[in-house]
Amino acid sequence: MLEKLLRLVAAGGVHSHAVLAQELDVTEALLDQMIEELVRLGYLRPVDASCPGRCEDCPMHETCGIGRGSRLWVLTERGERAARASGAGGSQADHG
Amino acid sequence: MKDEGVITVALAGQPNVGKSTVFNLLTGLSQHVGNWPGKTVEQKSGTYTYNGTTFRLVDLPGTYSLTANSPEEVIAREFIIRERPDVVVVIVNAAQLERSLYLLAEILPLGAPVIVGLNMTDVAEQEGMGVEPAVLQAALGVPVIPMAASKNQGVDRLVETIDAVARDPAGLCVPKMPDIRADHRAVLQDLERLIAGHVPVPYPVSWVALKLLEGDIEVTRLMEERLSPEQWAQVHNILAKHEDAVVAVASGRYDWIGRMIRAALVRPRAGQIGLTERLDRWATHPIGGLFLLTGILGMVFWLTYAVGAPLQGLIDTYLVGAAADWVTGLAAGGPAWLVGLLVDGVIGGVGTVITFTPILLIFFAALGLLEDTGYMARAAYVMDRFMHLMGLHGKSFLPLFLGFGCNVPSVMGTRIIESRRAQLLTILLIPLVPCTGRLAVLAFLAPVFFGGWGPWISFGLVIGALMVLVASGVLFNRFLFRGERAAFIMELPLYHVPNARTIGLFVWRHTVEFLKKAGSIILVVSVIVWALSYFPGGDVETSWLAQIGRWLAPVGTLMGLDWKLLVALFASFVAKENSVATLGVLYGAGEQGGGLAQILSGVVTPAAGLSFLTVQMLFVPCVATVAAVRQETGSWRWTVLSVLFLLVLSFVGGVAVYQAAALLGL
Repeated sequence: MLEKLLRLVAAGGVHSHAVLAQELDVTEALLDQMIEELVRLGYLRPVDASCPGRCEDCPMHETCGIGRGSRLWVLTERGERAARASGAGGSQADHG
Repeated sequence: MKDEGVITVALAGQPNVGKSTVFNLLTGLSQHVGNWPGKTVEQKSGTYTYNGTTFRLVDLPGTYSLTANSPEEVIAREFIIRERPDVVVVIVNAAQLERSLYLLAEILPLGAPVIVGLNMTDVAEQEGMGVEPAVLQAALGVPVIPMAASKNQGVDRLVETIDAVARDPAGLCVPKMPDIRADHRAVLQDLERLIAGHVPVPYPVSWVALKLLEGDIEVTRLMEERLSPEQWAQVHNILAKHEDAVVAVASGRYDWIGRMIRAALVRPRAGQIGLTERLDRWATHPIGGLFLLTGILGMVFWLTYAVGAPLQGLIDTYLVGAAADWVTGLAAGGPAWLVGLLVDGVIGGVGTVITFTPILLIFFAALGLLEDTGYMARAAYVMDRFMHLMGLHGKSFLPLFLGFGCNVPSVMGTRIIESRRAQLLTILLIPLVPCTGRLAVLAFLAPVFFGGWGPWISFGLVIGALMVLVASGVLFNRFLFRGERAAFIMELPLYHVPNARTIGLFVWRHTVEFLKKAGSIILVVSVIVWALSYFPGGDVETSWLAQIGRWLAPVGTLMGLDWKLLVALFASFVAKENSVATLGVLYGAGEQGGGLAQILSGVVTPAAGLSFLTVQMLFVPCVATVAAVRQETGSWRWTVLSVLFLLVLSFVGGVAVYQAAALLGL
C-alpha cells in the first residue's frame, strides 16, 4: 500500500489528496495516516513548514488566502529511490 | 493464569479513545496509582469481580503504536510480552477507526488473546459513520464489542467476553494478522531462521524479526547482544540490503487496515457527500477543471467590460473631461506651458489612469472572491499539469497567480519556494503573468482598437500570454535547469462562504494602493513625459521625445508601431498604466477633450493595435518588479537575463503578430 502511494506520487506533478485516496481505495483518513507514516520514515517531507508564522514579515501576507489551508508534501530523495525500487517488483505487491 | 483465580487483563489503546473511562467503570474505587518500575510513567491498575472470579485490570499507557520511540510504547509492549496477560483489551475509537486499528495491527502479532472494545459508537453515529461489529469480528478473527463507555453502554458485554476469552482463548481468538508485503516474505523468513534459538523467551521470533526489519532500536540492541559476532554480521548484512524493509512492514499493516475498513466501515450515503467533494468533482477534473478555470477567467473579463467599461466612460466624461475644461478655463490667460502641463501632463496622463479605477475594482473583487471561497487552491491544482511540464509544483502557482494582482509581491512571494531552481524559474516566468496594470491597459485599449471584439481579443491575449509562459517554462526547465522533476501531494482546503468584509478590505487596500501610485509615480512620469514632449518648441512633433522616438522608429516599424506607441511602451517600464498616460499626453487627450479612446481609434490600425497590446503583454515589467527580481535572486546576472529575455520575446511577438495581422488585412 505504501509503496503504491510512493509510486503514484513519484510519477511526478501534484496529486490531490482526494484523488490519491480513490486510487488507493482507502478513506482520506487512512491516507492521512499513511502520509504521516511516510513523513516519519523520511520518504515524504511537508513543504509548507516554511511559513514563518509572522504574517507582517511575510511578503504573501496580504493575499495569503490563496492556498489557505492547503497542505503540501514533497517526495524526498529517499522516497524517490524507494518508489523506483518498488516499481521493479511492484505489481505483485499491489495484488498481494 | 498466573495468580490462582486472578485473571490479568491489560487495557491498551491510543490516547483519547475512552480507555480511562472503561478502566474507571470497571475498577471504580479499587484503583491503585503508581509508577511503572524504573520509569516516571504513571501506572494504574485495579480489580473487579465477575462470576466469582477476580480480574486484575492494568491500564497500559496510551500509545499510537508499539515502536521504541517513547518509554510509553516500550512499557506497553514489554508488559504484553513479558507479563503475558490472559487477555488484552484494545479499545478503539469507532469514529476514527483507521487510526485506532494501527495499534491493533501491532498488538496482534504479540500472541496475546485480544478483544476489541469498539468504543465511541455514539460519536461515530453522530458523524454519519457506522461500523458493523459482526463484520469486523469476522474479518479480525477476534471478538469485537460495540461500546459507548461514556454512557456505560457495552461494558457488561465486555466483562462477559473477557471472562469467556480468558477461559477459552484458542477457541475465541483466531486473529487474522497483518502480513509483511509479499516481496519481503522471504527476507523475513531468512531472518527468522537466523535468529531462531537466540530470541529470549517470551519474545515471539516472528515479532523480533519484524522489529529488526523496522530498525527498532531496542530489539536491535537485544539481538546484537544475544547473537555471536558472526551471526550478527549475517543479520546486519540482510538488514543493510533491505533498508526500505520498514516500508514493506508498514505497508502490510496498511493493507490489512484497508481491508478491515472496506469490510466493516459503513460510508456515508451519496446524498450526504459534502459540498466540497461534489464541487471538486468538476473543479479538479483534468479537463473539466481547466474549462471551469478558463470559464471563470472569461467571466471576469466579461464583467469588466459589461460593468467596468461604461463606468470608465462616465468617469472620463464627467470627471476627467470636466476637470480638463475647468482647468483650461481657470488657467486661460496664463502661460501656454502651464496650461499644457496641467491639462496635457497632469490631467491627460494621471486623469486617464484614474479612469481605470472601476476596472481594477472588478479585478480585485474577483481575485478576492476566488481566494476567499477556497477556489484558488483548485486553480493551483488544475494548473499543476502545466506547471509539471515546466518542472514546477503547485506551490509555485501561488506566487505566480499573485502576479495577476501585481508582479512585485508575486516575485517576493517566491521566498516560500524551497528549491532555488524552482524559485529562479518561477521568478523568470512571473513577468509573463499579466498584472492588473497590464490588464487595465488591455481593457482600456482593446475596445478602442477592436470595438465589440475587444473582450474576445483581451481574453485571447491573456490566454496567449499564459501559453507563452508555459512554453517558456518548458524550455527554461529543459535547457537551463536540466529538466528536474518534482512530485507532490496537495490537500485541498474545504470551500467556504466568502466573507464580504474580507473581500471588501482586500479590494479597498489594493485600490487605495493604486490611487496612491497614480498620485505619485504616474504623476511624476506624466509630467516628465509631457515636458519631453513639449519642449523645446511647444510642439509634440518637434519635441525632444519625438527625436528619441524617431531614433527608435526602425525597431517599431517591424512591429507596426510609430514613435508615440514606442515611447508609450518604454514609459510602461516605470508603471504599466503609464503607457496609457503617455499616450494621453502625446495625443493631447486632455486638450482635445474627446478622450484618448476616441483619438486612438482614428489613428491606430487594428494590426498596429494588436501588435502594441501583444508587446505590452510580453514586455519588461515595471521597474519595481525588476528591483524585486534583483532582490530575490541576489544576482544581476539573473536580473539582466530576465530583462533581455522579455525584450527579445516581446519584440519577436510584436513582429510576428503585426506581420500576420497585416497579411490578414487588419
